[in-house]
Amino acid sequence: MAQRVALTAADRARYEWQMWTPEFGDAGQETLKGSSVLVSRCGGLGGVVAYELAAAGIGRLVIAHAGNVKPSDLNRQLLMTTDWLGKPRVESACRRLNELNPDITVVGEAANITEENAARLVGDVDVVVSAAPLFCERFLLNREAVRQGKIMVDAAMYDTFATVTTVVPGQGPCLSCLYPENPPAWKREFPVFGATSGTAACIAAMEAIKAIAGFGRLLAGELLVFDLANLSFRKMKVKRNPACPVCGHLRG
Amino acid sequence: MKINVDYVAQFKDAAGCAGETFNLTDGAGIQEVVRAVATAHAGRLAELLLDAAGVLRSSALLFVGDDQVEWDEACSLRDGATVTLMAPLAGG
Ligand SMILES: [Zn+2]
Repeated sequence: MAQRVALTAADRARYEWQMWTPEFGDAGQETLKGSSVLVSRCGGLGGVVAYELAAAGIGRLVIAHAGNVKPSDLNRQLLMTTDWLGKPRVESACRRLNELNPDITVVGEAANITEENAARLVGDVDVVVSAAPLFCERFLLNREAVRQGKIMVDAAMYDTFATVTTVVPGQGPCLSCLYPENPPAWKREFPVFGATSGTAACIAAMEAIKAIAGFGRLLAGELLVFDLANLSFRKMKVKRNPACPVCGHLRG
Repeated sequence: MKINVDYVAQFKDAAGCAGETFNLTDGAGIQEVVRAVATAHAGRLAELLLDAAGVLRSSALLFVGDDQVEWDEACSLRDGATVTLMAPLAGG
């Protein structure tokens, strides 16, 4: 887990207002400074997670996302800018994150999560955030995070609905417990307002901050399900699958 | 007895509504609820919920109140209970 790193005067000036949170304080900020987080894809959801984590002072952010900026990204992918159309997404993301906070390290990986890179990317960080638009990438990240015993925050959305859960290996269900097979009806393109993906993202970012700094209660064994059409927010109790091929062998 | 059913994500699209109420015989369990939904929405929603053998697809999540329940879990629902049918979602 993350090592505490001493704060400079500039750090104190930047993070002062969040350090007023009593359960967080100086120690929490020092822990964030010494921590690292992988964000899988920096689209409408992961981009806002990364932005909030950069603002909060996570010491090292690794952003993984393949491809170039398209016009249809710009309604929600807040790290992408109009002047970067046709150019690599991770470049736009790293530039925007460093404009916001030049004191942190941002590493761009111009690839999505694959069998080839999952172990290395997860091994490089303390906590991972799962925000890819395809189940196959989420399952890979989940499998690798559980294998390495790392906390994974999973946030997903569709239309005005979103879900957030935090996989703490052995302490609650993993993503494969919830969804044992690749859902055949899921498609990569889906209805989305940036305000919906961004709401899920802010909750996911707070889960990552809490997981690293060790305060509050995580969504382990719980699935937050909300619908911004009617503003219902519900915390569902979800179960481990004892036969889960990914986490079934772990003791609770 | 009356059972309220809520639809999440693609299930809402397929049902054409966010939720509705079903009249079921007392002591009905989760399978009776899902089958009543599939009968009322014989097209796309029935296909998303159940496979050819009439068994729930593994990626659909079921909740009674705020608790997840399994397809083959014995549970008799109470009058006025809310069952939530959640389609898997992965938008990022
Ligand atoms: Zn599992």
